[in-house]
Amino acid sequence: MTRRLVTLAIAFSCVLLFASYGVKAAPAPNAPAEIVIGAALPLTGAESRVGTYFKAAYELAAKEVNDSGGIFLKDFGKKIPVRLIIYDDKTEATTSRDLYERLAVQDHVDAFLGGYSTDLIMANTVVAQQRQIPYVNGGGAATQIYGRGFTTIFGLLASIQSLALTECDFIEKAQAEGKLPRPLTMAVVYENTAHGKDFNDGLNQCATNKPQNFKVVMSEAFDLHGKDFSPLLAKVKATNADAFMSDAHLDDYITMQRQYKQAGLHNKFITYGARGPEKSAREALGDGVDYIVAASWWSSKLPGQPVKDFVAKWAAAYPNLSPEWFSALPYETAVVLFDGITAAGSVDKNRVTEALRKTDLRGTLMPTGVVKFQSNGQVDLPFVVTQNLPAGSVVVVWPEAEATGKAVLPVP
Amino acid sequence: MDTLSTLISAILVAGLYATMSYGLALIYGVLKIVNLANAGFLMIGAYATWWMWTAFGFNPLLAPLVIVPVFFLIGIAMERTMIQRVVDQEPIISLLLLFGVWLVLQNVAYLLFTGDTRSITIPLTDAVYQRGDIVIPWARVYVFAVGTLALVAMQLFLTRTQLGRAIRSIAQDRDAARLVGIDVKRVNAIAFGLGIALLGLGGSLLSLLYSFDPDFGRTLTLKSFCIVVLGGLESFVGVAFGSIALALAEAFGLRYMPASLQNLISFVLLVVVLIAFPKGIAGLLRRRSGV
Repeated sequence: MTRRLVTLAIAFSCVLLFASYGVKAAPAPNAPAEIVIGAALPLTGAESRVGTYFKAAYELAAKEVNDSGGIFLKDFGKKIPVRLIIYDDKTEATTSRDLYERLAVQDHVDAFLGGYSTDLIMANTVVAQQRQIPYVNGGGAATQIYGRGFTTIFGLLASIQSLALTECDFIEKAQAEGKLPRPLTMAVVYENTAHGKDFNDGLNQCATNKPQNFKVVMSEAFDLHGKDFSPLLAKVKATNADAFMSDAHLDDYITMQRQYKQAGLHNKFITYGARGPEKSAREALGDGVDYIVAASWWSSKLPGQPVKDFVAKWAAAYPNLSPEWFSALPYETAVVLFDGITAAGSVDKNRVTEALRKTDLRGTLMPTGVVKFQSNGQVDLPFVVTQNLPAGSVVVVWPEAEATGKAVLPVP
Repeated sequence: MDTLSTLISAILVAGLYATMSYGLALIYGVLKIVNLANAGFLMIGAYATWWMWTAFGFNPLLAPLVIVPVFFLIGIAMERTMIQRVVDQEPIISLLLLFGVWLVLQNVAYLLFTGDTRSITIPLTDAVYQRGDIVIPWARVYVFAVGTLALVAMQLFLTRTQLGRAIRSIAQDRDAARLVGIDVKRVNAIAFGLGIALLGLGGSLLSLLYSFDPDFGRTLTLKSFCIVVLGGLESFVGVAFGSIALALAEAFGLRYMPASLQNLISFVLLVVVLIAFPKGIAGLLRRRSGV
């Protein structure tokens, strides 16, 4: 009996010993105190207006997640707060790249949120790829960004070529209704960037595939952030084109449209690509922006509860900033990154990248509500076509299913 | 494109170019320093016009009446506190100082006005005269007229007044001017004040034609350098000729080349002039007339 008791005691001790050894052999990993996410944005310089919106949107998304306790990481079984580090790249590509390098090397970020505008993103994404840090952006649409075989870059902006093709679809509908001539002669001017070239390529594709509908009579690039477009506009005028098809950033859109009016130009159709309905353009030019058609990644006029909710919380957080695509897209960008980290259950960069690759997020702010990345890292989502109307109103005119008004064409 | 239309457009643009270049020429002519803060003062002139218009409803067409005297005083204060200390030193000192002033002005503008693109829209800014293919924006006519008026006024001031003659004599030979009893320090301050006032005028007029942000003026200043070199570094009439030459070269050049190469024309012209006739058009004319 005594011998049996001794044997049991030894066996029990061994179980305890092994159990404790087991715990020591596979210790629970230390949870990070915070998840560090970095970005460099154009807070000063030519793109500072949009950069300011991006910062506000990133901060709003981070605040929301931190108010709920942080991002849940399965590996540690708890929520970890997010810390954002945002630097000012002064709208300079080299500075932007240097700052992303600093975020990686000195700040040891776990992931990057993207900067804004194609040329800066072209420069700073190199750092993300070299250091294999996941990078999600809502500010770069040019196909060139995603055509370099980079594996850690993800973008929520559909390509500019798609934007041009969407505008062609919309024009075809207007032609079918007898509102625009067929073929529509187009004077195409575009910023001298990958962004602009995509736009030009898209419109040339329309003209090649559907010569009965489209004819390009002029195609010329202009310098980004230009101040004097009058020689270019004089050439546009000489073409007598039906449509003025421009692709420009916000500051160039405002400057060019002002000089367009001053040059006495009038076309049956006028677009500045993704730009058109921005409040600042209306403030700067008044009714000078009436009837401009824009194909954008997002509109606050889109139907659907997520959009309504976002517009309400944006207004509450930033009463002085109107809800533009450049507030919704960066917000959604941050949400997608947080979702990727949650899905990875870890801040391991490879796992987060893999999780982002498999993103299938529903009920988002984006048109269709779904965010999924293609194999090149870019989304493929439809554009929303809007038209500015008198008295400051903006209506969604395409896709038809989401239209909130009728387009006024040709431009009166 | 119609040749007459191009010619009219070029002449109107020349008026604009001349207006924004007078200040640079005057400051270089008298003080022999290159005002790298040129763009900053053009930008502040544009913002001042916009601010008076939005805050007080002040007519932007009349804004120069306020801006010119205020900028003149700012220029005098700046000369007394900063420029005076560096005017006789190595050129690099004044270059760096004025470059720093530009950066300060730019950042102050970012703080005060943010980076938003601003624009002044009044009935005149969108009004055009149209006859057939010829389109003349009235705003450009206004800028041309005021620019020409400024040129005539400055030329009269420099040739018909005691102070103007003192300024010219310093521009020609500083030491000789000092020897005949001209108060060089006082004249320097007035000349710098006038240069800044002309830049304020230029910025105010530019705001009627262009949208602007705190980075405004950078490209235009590069054109101003080209014009001033073209016209001869110390001559107002030369500046007018330089402006016409550049505007014509751009207008007719761009008929055969992409508009994005507009700035290339000014820089090619600058290089050619520096090599072929470094004293500019004024120097060339003087040489031809044997003066």
